[in-house]
Amino acid sequence: MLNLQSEFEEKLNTAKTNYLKSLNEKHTLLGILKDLMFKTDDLKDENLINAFQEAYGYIHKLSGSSAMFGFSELGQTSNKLELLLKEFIGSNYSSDKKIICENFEILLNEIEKAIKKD
Amino acid sequence: MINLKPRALVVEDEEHIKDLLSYILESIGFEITGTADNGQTALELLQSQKPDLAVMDINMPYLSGTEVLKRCNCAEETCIIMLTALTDEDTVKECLALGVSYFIRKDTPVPKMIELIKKTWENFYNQKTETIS
Repeated sequence: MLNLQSEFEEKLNTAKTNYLKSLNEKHTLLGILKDLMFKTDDLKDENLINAFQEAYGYIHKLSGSSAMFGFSELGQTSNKLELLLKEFIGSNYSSDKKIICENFEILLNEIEKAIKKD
Repeated sequence: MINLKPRALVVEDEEHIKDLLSYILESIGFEITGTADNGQTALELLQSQKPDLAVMDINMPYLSGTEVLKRCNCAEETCIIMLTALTDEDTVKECLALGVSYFIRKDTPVPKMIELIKKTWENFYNQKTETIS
């Protein structure tokens, strides 16, 4: 029974370590997407639209997973940005972009904090 | 040798959560017979494997968790636990009407999550056994 318990705890620790590694990758990717998203307002630019769609997908996953791995502040920040992005995409990219940019910055900082903390 | 472990399906589009859920279910005695990262695959596995329990995300590519439930009509034979970051009341009501056994929020700490899954499975199993006898 003890063996099973320690095996389970070991698996949980491995899962958390792998998750932290993936946060590093997500931080890099989201940084690249942020540059693409905020360097232009030209809605005819396919890269801009793709960047928003891709960022939404990553942030949606981050929103659920960070909370589950115990990073509650990161969960809340990503959840807020997920909703803002959903609204922005739903408005056909016409609502306020500045608030998204600000919250994107907050999210990137929050990811860094989570990586450093553990 | 007969395998008496209850069979479980894990449906989640985030790989790390899928792994974590599989570990959790194995630790409480389930055999993971399938995993899916989208609603379409989940539907196929629910219909072909008829697992004893399924833990399923709501917001997924291709088919949402609620859409899977509507199409499989399997909540009587499979204990369905929905995993969600959403707390949208309408979605909760819709899922309950479709026979979902329980909802677990994704920010639930792991020990509590284990307790909730165990309790939900026990309730479902006892009700099913009573119905059969």
